[in-house]
Amino acid sequence: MKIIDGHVFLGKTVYVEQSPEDVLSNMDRLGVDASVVVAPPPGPFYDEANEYVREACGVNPERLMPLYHANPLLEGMVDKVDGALSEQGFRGVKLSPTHDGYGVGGPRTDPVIEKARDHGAPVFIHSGDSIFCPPEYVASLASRFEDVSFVTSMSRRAPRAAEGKENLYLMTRSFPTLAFQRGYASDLDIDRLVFVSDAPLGSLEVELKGAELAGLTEDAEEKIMGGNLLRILKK
Amino acid sequence: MVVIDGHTHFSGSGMGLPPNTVEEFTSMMDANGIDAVVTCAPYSSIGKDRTYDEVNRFIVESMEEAKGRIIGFIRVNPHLQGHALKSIEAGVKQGFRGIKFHPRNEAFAINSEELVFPIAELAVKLDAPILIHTGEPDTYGFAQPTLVGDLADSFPDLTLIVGHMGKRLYEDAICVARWFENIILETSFRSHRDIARAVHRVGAERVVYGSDIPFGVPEIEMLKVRVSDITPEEKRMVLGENMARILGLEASR
Repeated sequence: MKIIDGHVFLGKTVYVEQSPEDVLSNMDRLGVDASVVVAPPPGPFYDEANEYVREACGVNPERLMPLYHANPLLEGMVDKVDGALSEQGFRGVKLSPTHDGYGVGGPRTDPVIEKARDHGAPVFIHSGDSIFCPPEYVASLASRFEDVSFVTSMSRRAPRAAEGKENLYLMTRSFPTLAFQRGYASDLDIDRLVFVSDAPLGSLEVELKGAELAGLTEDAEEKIMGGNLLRILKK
Repeated sequence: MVVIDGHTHFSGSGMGLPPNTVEEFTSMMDANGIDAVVTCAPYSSIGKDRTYDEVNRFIVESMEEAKGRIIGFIRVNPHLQGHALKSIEAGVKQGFRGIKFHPRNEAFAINSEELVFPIAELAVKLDAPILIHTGEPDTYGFAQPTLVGDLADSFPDLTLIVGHMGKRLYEDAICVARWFENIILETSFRSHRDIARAVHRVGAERVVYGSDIPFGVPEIEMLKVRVSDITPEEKRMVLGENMARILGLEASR
């Protein structure tokens, strides 16, 4: 079974700094096969940061898979997303409404999502901590764009928002260990959970421990720890 | 090294989630290298009379049975103020070492002059710290950590422990802890980075480890402290020495 960390920040902002060497050494130390990496927010401009991510993934194509961090407030973003997905090897798109200050689900974000749909790429959306992106907004997008896979943050209301949305996946941080241990994980669909560390904001070691202690079945482990993600990432 | 879990809940067989017995609780402590726990009633154990009398009695019995490894904080409902004051006076004589507030579940503001200040006055008199659940800005603001600052300002001799470090209001919690030296931050559900930030901004001596058993997993909550970017000495302080100092326990260093 391959273990994939579905969301890791790579690069440097005012809040976060992590190099490819940092990511890879943690993966080696903790037995993770591959990571989905993305430039950390906030932008507003991500051109250089996305390029840094692309270059790092080019050197380590088997182990690092890039997301394109888009800011829909900027002119020309749809064309940039088009180029990123068609020519530059990005495997999906990332939106950070809280950090870049826009609401999801309106005229600003729709064109970017439509472009991701054109390329069969998933859209990762940070959610659950601001008026810009409650999980219900992401769920609404999932209803309107049924042929796009969305991956969004775990938060208190996220499982209920995701209920019945077959194209809406939830990231696992913080891993819902007790829900699995005590058998009340019924509102979590194992076919739509994606293991993530959010490193360096989260700790890969802590999240792996959470998964280990959860007592997952072999089937759930295979899906959550990488299988679900590989199914939806742009090929 | 002494390890004290600064925030747990315990209610006894049939009243809530495991651990349900003292033996189960001490076994859980042994498995995780925990010397002692601060514990209080969970919301699920509130009585039909809206008090925690029954489970508070259970915790007194558990303290005796656990021989110092279970340290009780008496949970009270400030809306029943006369009853709360009497319960605290009696409870401290029975062995409770502190008080627990849950402003979200009992629906009161942490800085309520009417509901909280009389209890805070008594807590000062009894030298009993108050552990306060904080977080959830969307529940009418009852449990916002900034309100702990108001209480800390009004009662400078009262030790106030900010449960969960304000959850996602952790920056607010860190701010008020910088402003008022009688505020302690408790780590449950915060990330390893938030714990390090609290230590760096407030000082290691005012951050205490907590797991929120049975709603949190001690192994995971402790691991967050262990992988955080703080010194080994600071980790020892957070994991147990600080709570031992706050409670006047002998720290086995």
